[in-house]
Amino acid sequence: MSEYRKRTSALRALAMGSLVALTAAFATSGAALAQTMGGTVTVVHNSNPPSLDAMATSSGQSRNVNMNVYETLYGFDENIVPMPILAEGVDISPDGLKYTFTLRKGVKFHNGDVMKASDVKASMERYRKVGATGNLLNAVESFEIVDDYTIIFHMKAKTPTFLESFSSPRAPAVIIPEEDFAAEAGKTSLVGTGPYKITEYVPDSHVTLEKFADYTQDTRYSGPDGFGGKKTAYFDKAIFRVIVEPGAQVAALEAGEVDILDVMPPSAARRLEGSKDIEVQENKLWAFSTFILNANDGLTSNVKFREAVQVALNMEEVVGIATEGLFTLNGGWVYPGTTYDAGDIGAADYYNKHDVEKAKALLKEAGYNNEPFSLLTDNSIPVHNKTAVVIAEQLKAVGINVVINQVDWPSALNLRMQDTGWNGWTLSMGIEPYLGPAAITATLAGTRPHFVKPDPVLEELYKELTAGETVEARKATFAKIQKQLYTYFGIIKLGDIGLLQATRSNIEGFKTFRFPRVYDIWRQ
Amino acid sequence: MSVEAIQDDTGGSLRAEMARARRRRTTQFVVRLLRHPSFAIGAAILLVFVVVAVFAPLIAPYDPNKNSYRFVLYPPSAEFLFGTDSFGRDILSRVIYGARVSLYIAVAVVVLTGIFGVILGTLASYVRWLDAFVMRGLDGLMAFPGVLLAIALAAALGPSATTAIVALSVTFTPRTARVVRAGVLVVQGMQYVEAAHAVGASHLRIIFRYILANALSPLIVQLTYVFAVSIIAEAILSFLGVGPPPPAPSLGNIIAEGRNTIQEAWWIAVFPGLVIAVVVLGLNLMGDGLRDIIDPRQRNER
Repeated sequence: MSEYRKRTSALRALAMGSLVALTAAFATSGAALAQTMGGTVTVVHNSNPPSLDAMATSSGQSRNVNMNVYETLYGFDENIVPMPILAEGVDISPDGLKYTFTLRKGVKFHNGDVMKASDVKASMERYRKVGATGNLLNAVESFEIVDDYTIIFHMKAKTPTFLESFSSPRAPAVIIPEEDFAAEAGKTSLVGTGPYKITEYVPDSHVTLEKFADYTQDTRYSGPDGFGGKKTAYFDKAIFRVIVEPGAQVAALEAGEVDILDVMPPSAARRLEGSKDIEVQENKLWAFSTFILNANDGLTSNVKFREAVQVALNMEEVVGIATEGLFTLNGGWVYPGTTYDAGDIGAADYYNKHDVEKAKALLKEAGYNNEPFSLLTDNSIPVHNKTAVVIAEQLKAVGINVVINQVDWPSALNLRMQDTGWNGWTLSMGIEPYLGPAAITATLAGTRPHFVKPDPVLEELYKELTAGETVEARKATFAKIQKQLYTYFGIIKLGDIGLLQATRSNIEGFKTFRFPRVYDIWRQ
Repeated sequence: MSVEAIQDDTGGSLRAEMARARRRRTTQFVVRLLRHPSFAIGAAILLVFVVVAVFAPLIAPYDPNKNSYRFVLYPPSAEFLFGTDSFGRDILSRVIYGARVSLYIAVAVVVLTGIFGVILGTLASYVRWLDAFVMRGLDGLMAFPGVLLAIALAAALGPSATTAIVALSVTFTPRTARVVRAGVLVVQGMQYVEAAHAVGASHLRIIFRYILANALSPLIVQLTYVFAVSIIAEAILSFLGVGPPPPAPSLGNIIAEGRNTIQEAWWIAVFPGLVIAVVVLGLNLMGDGLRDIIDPRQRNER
């Protein structure tokens, strides 16, 4: 493992040491107590869920709510391995062309109907049309209902990674009643099979969930595990409230008005260290902080220029400031120590170099003549605009004329979809690195990669990756992908960033995850 | 024969005498102003502000945009008098440069508002048939609450210093034009104006030499008010993120950045806030003083 991955900032170590201790103390005390039924839990997140139609959106805010309401056939367990949730299991034919899913019997929808194969078929066909990542079903030729509890997915070709991508929570392929088959995106009856049901949505204010009394627990497991497992709803009501200002969120938590903060600012966590009322948990591997360059527009269409940006940056300074110390330096494109970890291949010569002289030489080679570099960022996600400000200063130091274009998050998403008019864009990638190499590479391949202009080499490597028969083969391909990313310089890895979440101390059982699970938590 | 020629015939000595008298009057006026306590205090505050803003590069101890991970969120100390922000930037230096941005915007707004206010106000009162059109148009603009209109304009034009200037100028011009119009309406009925018409003076000459020169005092008071409000309004716009984009410091965006860490690092928001409060107080004191001195009726009432 490379040397800079191990380096964690002193500030962070200082702050987090005690947080980890707190968390540990919290976890043991939780197990010893008896669970209490009833009451209301209030979770705070910072913006509206764009849609409560789970399959139609890949927004994190939507996931926060929806993953408590809807369930998928397969989903990830705590260790990011696919596990059956609504499925009893799957039988994959030896040629890889037939996936036979058997369904759990007697699972009830919120409307009282029992889930059958026809509901699954309707959901999958709707997912093809309105699913935010509908293309993950491109590998499937057709769905065949065998009986009420058996359905076969006929594949077009062998796709070894299908089950993993099918289990993705990014825009989850949830099972909804057959009656919602024809509903346009966002126009469903909001009925799912989860432990909570949606009873009220007031935009800019809150979503109210109520316990689903007839919830069919998955008794194969002993407790919740990742997105599945045996889920128990203790609270009668769960409210997801929108509070935009981080300062106001913390104040509401301190006042006891709300119970769980989806994002806890590190500076507030440090201040509240040792507080009897508030507990903080750290999710270390939350996201990749990245800086995307538009390979299609003016300046940044020149690979020498992009290389200059890469070598000019001091990642420790950028990510350290942006995350208030909650980061790990890592130039690799998967989390350290995971299966596909390619070490510092490619990164060794380029990551965290802060080589001003080399950057200036490269700029000269690129024929740079003080043209403006338009840096797109948003003011909705603090990590993004802080990253942009620090990057801008570092690029100015090597002589690049940076102009920051700071807009709100929806506008930024809109602007970056334009082929020109921006040179750099700051993005924290949360769910893709969680899902692994295929999900990351998918955003960098295809007809519209993040850096706009497709790179034929990456395109080929992506195909090689998804067709890889064995883990070993895929690992080898991924190492080549990482190398290529440090040749093309369309996207710059800044570091791995963490997330803090906070709860009132009397909330028991809460464990930080990709979304706040409101089941299997209770008030002491 | 033109008016110029007639005056020239009266000889140079009279002209020189008139000029001397004018100078004497000006000196007396300035002395009276400076003796006025609230004007003097206000002017002193403004002077400090302007000097600091103009000489920012010489006064600021650090580069206002220099990030440093090592110095993140340092409380006020001898090294950093106002502390540092979450980027490790020196707040004092940022406030000093922020004052510069505020001053630049406020001066530009005052100049533009003055120019357009005078043009529109004079047109409306001097050219009678234009009055209804111009004033109804301005009434329309005035129907929006001032800062709200500025926010809407700034949001539409995109965040930048120029946007803030345009937005605030559009917002404040109607009020200024109204003040000018009222002053001009009063003065243009005066007999000496009629006399100027009678001797065949050109419209431009009548407007500048006889009318505006005598209708300026309320305008000056109005413009000090516009200056003060511009500083606050610029801070509001920057606070809301429609002012000059980051990393450029402005009093408003420093406060906005400090808002999220107000409980952990109060110094980020408090110092620029204090600066705004003091400067606006100074401007108001100065405006009050000016009104007292310039406006004879007010003086008599006291």
